[in-house]
Amino acid sequence: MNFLDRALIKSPWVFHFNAGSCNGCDIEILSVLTPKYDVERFGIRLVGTPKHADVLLVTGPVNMKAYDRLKIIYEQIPDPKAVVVIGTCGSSKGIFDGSYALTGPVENVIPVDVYIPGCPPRPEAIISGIYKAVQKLPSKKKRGGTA
Amino acid sequence: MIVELAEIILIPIYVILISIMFQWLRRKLKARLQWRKGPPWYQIFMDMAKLYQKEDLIPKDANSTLFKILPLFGLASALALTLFVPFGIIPPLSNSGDLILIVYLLTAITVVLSMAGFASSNPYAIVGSRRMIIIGMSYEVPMIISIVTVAMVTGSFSIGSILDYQTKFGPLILKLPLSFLAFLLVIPAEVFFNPFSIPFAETEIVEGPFTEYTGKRLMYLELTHYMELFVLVSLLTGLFIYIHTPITIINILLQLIISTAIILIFIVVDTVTARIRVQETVKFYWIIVTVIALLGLILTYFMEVL
Repeated sequence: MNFLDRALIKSPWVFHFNAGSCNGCDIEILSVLTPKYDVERFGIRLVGTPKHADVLLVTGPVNMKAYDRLKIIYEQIPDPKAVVVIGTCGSSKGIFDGSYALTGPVENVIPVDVYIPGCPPRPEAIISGIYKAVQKLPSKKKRGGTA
Repeated sequence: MIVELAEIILIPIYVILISIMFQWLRRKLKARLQWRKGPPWYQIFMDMAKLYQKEDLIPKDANSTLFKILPLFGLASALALTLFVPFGIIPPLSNSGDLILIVYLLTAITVVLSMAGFASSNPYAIVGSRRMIIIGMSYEVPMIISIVTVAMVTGSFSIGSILDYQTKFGPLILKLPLSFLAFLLVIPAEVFFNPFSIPFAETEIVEGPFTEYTGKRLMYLELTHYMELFVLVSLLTGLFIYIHTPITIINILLQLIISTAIILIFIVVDTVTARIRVQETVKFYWIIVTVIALLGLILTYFMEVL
């Protein structure tokens, strides 16, 4: 593995999008930034704008209001990028299955790389999921030329 | 001739490396003070290498010429500054009046960073840029007054003669403590550390002027921003705390140690304080810091010149 590929793995900046989640998963995402789990030791940073992000974290079953916004935010992330779905709702709609207000799950809207099941998932599972998604980034890079 | 050419090539590389390590120090110390573990030492190099590979996106509404060109202008200003600011040695391009050029280039960096925000036509970026200009208007005056005080005592606007003066008569901090204090208080606002991190307030206006930037251009802007800190602290140590020894390496190391000590103070303040409002910043600089700088100028005038 060369230096440039290693850089992609070692510095994932994460953008977090709530697509109609109950906030349970969102609080677990915040807990991985706290002193106990501290993801900054892996170089992971929570950024405020999709333009700076490498990994998109999506929580919640995608409802109709969130549909367009999720698509736009996915398009705004520069390549190479990865998508991680956190929680049962985003993976399979969970208890919201059959609702009239949903267009989800997330895989119906944007391509997904990693699913993290759980309601909510444990912080260790979230860190592990982001790590697995980041491993895919070098292979997504456009070969030849500088992206 | 050959020595000067080597200096012109080596000093920018040295400054870039040290600035990146200072940025890492900032993140690491911040993490340690918050009881976290913090990133490994190569983290900022990895961030830079990653940003270099990312896709370039230009917003539809942006002024694309300015959007493309401004990050390069910022980096060029920062690189030009490294050849005029003393890093423990007399700078390679030092001649008469270079202190004025330094002030001009420092202002150029602030203007370029804020113009970059305006050019991207993002509402968050525009708010951030406007705040940056307002803060710039408040810290420039005390900074220039304290630089003028130094020039008045040494009788020259040239960095080379100021360093010579300090070699002969000892560090200027002993003579001009008030000007030193004013300059010290200006630096956190100039590099937007807490409590003056108002243009980059990530909890209110996303990432400030850098919001729309991606990839290489974001890397240039970030690098400019990192270099500004080390350049400013080096200017402070050059103007006020230059301790001359006959051996060049020891001079450089001594300057690095003093700079690190000053930056550590800034990082601790950065960690323990919260962000203040932009009006409070303007009041702080126009009422307190400008008065300190003016007092330094007037006292020095009566004690030294008359």
